[in-house]
Amino acid sequence: MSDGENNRSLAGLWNRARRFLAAGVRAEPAGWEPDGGAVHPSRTLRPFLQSMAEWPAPVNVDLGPVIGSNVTFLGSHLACKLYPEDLYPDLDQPFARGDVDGLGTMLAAKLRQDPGSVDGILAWDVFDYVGRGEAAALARRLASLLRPGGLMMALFTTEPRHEAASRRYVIVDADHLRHRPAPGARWARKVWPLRDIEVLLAPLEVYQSHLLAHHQREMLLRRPAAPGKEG
Amino acid sequence: MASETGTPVEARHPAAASAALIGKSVVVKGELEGSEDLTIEGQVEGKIELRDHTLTIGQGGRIKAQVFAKAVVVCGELVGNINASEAVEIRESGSVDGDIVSPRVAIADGAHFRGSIDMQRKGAAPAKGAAPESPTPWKVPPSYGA
Repeated sequence: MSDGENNRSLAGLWNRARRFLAAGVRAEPAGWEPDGGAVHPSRTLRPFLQSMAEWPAPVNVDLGPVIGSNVTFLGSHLACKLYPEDLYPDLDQPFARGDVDGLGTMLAAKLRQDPGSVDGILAWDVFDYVGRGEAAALARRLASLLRPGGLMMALFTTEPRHEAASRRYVIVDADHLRHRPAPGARWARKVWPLRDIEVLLAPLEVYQSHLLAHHQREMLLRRPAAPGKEG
Repeated sequence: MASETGTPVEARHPAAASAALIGKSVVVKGELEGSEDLTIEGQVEGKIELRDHTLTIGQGGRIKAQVFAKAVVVCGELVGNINASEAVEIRESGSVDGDIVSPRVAIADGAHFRGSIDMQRKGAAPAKGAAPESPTPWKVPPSYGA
């Protein structure tokens, strides 16, 4: 091969490499992380963690699927007792769309903690997937688990969507959550107006509420200490 | 023995290389006590006590027992409670149905777990009925990874 042919060959190789590299660098939405879902800021996780850290050994219930890194995170920073109680598969069942009794039975079987024994609940976006009656039953059950002063962190979508995939919320740090897509037969996500949320979760009082740019409302709800207001 | 990732268990847990082994065809019913690391590839029903050592349940291991050990690595199936003074690790191929008490717990994506996890450290106060009188708010560092 002559020098000229060699140079042309190298130039062609370089051009192919540039095209390949250019094709590989895709413009992803802001916050996209290649290892599974966008990372979004969280405004309520830090105050939730700080509140839990005031207790020597907080008891937490996680209503989402078991996520190893979340378990490790909560364990290493809170030294807590954690009950992972994944409600999402159960909410995919037909009864979750109109059978309050069926939901009540399921909740009684799943959430077996003693009333008033739980310091914190990570509810994630579980309320987005249930109807009004079922959500009220769920809210009553969760509120009864919390001790006075206990907190529940809940996320509510602010735009109607029907995603084929559900979301898992992975704690990145105290200020960020990764919204990781996961297979699931979720129903259309319900949009709860703020007033409805307050009524729905009436046994609890709104401690913090943040409307975030990624079409989600984050709320921290607290079980009031006053006996007259306990749910 | 290789884990689900293809990495030999011995490679990540050097102690496993010299651990006692209960082979695939072995079935044990009763109490197991030991003062050395143990790897189980067979079946055990009852109780396992390795207070100062590591128990590794291989991918073929099927355990129905209460487990007490310093560290527990689960690549197979375990039905029963685990009490580990140092750490519990459930690998991707691992399955645990039971409650875990250990200061450190690692669960790989894809692993099955059903139960509660108590990560209270030694010396921590027991569950309480009222808020501490003078709580010390934990200041979350500006950023730390999961």
